[in-house]
Amino acid sequence: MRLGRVIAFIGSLLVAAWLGLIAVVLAADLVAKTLREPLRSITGLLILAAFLALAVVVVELLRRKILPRITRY
Amino acid sequence: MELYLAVLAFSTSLILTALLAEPLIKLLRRMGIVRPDAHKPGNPTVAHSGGVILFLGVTSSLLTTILLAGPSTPLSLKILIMLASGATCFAVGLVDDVKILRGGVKTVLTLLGILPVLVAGVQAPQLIEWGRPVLPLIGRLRITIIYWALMPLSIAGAANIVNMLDVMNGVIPGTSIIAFSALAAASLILGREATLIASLAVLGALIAYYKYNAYPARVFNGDSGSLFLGALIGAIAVVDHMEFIALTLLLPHLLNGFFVLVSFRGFKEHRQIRKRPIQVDNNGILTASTDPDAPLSLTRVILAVGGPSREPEVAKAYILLEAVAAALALVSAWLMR
Repeated sequence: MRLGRVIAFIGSLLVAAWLGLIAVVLAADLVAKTLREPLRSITGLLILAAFLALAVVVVELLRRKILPRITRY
Repeated sequence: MELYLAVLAFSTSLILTALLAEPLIKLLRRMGIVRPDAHKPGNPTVAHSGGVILFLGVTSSLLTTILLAGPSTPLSLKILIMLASGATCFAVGLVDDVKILRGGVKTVLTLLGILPVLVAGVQAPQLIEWGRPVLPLIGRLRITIIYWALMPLSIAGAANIVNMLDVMNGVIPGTSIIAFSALAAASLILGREATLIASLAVLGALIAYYKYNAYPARVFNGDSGSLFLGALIGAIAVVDHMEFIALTLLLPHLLNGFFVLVSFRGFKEHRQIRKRPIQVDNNGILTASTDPDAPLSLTRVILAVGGPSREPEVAKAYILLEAVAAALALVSAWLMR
């Protein structure tokens, strides 16, 4: 196994996911400071839903398009 | 911070697990609790429900620590809530190990893991400040409605995504050793005593247990083991406000769980899956499927990027990926100070 390649590829996915989480935290803070309940929670849930929808699109892209091309034999 | 309690929790669980593992594995085999190892030539049978070993080691150690710290102190109560949540999911896993449950039923039952936290929250609200997670860069955030909506998933979600990663010998104890070490280190940075004691108790048990589950495994963790460990991470996150740290530590598990849920269109037992994400040849070499319709899992991505490999190499990749997550978790802890 080419371990370096694995760590670089999936490690990048992990770092990207972590930066995404930090972005969600900063967005939640902005929402918390500018809006009141219940609008605050509704907006927060919408941000979370948008984040999940984006993640679903990325996963399907990886499964159907990217992985079949990059698979090593 | 009472460091001697943490050292005691670690050493007690390490010694007890080391003493219990061998006789319990023999007992499980004698009782016929075995499963075939699908990734090895000839599919040899291996003792199942190794979670019992971990549960006994961790529980005895934490109960001893609670008795020494004084059973009614806030520290003991927090540890007890964490343990009760873990024990609830352990019981669900044990039932599944003995009498196979449907994927959806098992997932719903793990929601019960939140009950000890809810009871404690109602009885002693000052002990667990609900809806106020501590986050990097911004500190404490008040998000009551979203927090309450997501809280039932905190323990069930963590338990199930750890369970979903239990795909090969040594992956769960190996990645959990890294995760609980990072939790212990983060608790030192943030001054969370209950997390430090609980993490070190689990770490001691895992270190003693690892060699029995590492390739070639003599015992499988079973759902009892993986649900127990995952539920403990979730419980630590909720009870001691380590939400972001736990989320970061579970990123490889989350990635895998998300891949599986999206591509399988929901929870499915492995028996229900027709197209496999990976294949195993007669020599035990694993390869990624090239079928675009085959489901996605983190193992398939590892094999697709790294090339055909043996099981221990894949387990090593998982452990190194958990080390990346642990590094990110420690950066998060530093940003939360």
